[in-house]
Amino acid sequence: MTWETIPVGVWLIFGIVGLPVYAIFLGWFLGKPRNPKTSVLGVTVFLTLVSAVWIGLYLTTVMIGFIFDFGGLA
Amino acid sequence: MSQKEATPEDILRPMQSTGRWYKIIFAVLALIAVGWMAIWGYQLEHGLAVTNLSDWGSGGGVTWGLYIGAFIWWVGIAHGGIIISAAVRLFGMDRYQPVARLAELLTIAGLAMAGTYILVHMGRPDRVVSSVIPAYPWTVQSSPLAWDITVITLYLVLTATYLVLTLRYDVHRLRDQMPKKLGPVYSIITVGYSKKEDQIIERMVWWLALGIIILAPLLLHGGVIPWLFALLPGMPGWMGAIQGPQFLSIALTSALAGVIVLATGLRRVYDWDHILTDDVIRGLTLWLGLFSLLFIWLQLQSVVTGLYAAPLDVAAVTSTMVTHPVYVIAIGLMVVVLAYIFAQALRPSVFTPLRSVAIALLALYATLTEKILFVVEGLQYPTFSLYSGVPGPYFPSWIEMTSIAGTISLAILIFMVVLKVFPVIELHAVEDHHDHDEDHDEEVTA
Repeated sequence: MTWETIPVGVWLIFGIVGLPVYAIFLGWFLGKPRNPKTSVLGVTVFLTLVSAVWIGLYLTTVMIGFIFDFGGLA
Repeated sequence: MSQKEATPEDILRPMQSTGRWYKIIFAVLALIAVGWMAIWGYQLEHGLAVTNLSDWGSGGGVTWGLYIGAFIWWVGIAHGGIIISAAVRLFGMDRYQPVARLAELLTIAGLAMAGTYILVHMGRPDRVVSSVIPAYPWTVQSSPLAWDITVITLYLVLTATYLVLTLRYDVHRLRDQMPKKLGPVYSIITVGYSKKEDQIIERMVWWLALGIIILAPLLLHGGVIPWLFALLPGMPGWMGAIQGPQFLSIALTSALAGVIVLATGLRRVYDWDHILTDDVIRGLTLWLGLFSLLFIWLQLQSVVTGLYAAPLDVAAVTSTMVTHPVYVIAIGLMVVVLAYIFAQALRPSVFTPLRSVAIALLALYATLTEKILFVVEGLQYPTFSLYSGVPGPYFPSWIEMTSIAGTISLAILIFMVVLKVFPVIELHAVEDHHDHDEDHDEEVTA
């Protein structure tokens, strides 16, 4: 049974939640009018922002840990 | 009706001058935000024990209270961006184009505040990233919290991508009239820009709008966020498939209310009556009416099934909910909201932008308090009385309550800063702005 072999979160996130995201990227690269350079720009903006969100959050939390000195490894 | 033609100079005005009132309001909000951060610092120093959420030894067993209720509320408000963008890009409802970017910014500010609440609710916020990222391959398999983080990240980043891509057109054309000192920022936004890309970018943001309209309402606020609660069979106030539609209806109500307050406020401050016209505000108010009606209708579903021959645990939490003053006031306010919107739909002279703001504020209050009550009562009335010996009911501590003022101030400050950096109304909206006299209300009321 698929339900037993593939954990619920895997098919839910990568199989269902991911669909609109895959559709966006496919639309960017396969739709017309298109220009690969502009599509790559879109992907670059997307990946830069993902990194900015998580790196920004990481730096914030490190700063909180530094200021309040919780006495353990982050 | 527009009194005058909208021009690009109109949308540049916030960047070109800073009035006395801007400075005063900024200073007051900054004071509130910094004051709340100091209070959060006190909480970090002494632990969650300073709230009523620290453990199961107090507050009637409630460990998720105001913080999680406010987190849900902020994510709900964040849905304004995609509703408006989808209306403009996917459904061709161009009259809402002037509020599209405002709504997208509301999404980013709303999600930022929601994320802040997650940090605030953690005893060890320094561990957020270092615990979430390494464990993700395992937690994503079964943890609704991991799903939540995934979808919120996607929503935030896709909306910001949408914003960046649409800004390129505006910044390229208006740059000479925008603040020179922000030149490096504009250079990054417009890197590699050429006019040939305009049509391609327009198509790309269409795909973004399509992806986000499925992702955010259906899979975030109608999906992973209600699943944080609805998948717990031991909590009858939370469990059940109704939570997805119910969460979504409340989210859309608060989102439209947020957009109305924002758009009407800016219209007054910057004399944008000819851009953010009465027609636009009235249209948004009608949409608010539709979502408010869905909100009330889905509440009715819960109440009727929860009181009529329901299992004992469901009946206990439902009967407590419907008699709780917070719930009675929230639903009562939503009835007032609906009554006003119905009245102004029947008799247009009843409509004024100020009245729309007033009922939008009522809707924001009602959605916030309903969400907090939902979280609290879900925990207070489990199927098995695990906490029957826990003293006292939960009531938000003053520390928790100040977070509402703090996050609202922070969100407004984000807007006030953005107003000085780039146009909060799309250039397309003033280039193509025409008054739509035809009766678009059919779109809403049909």
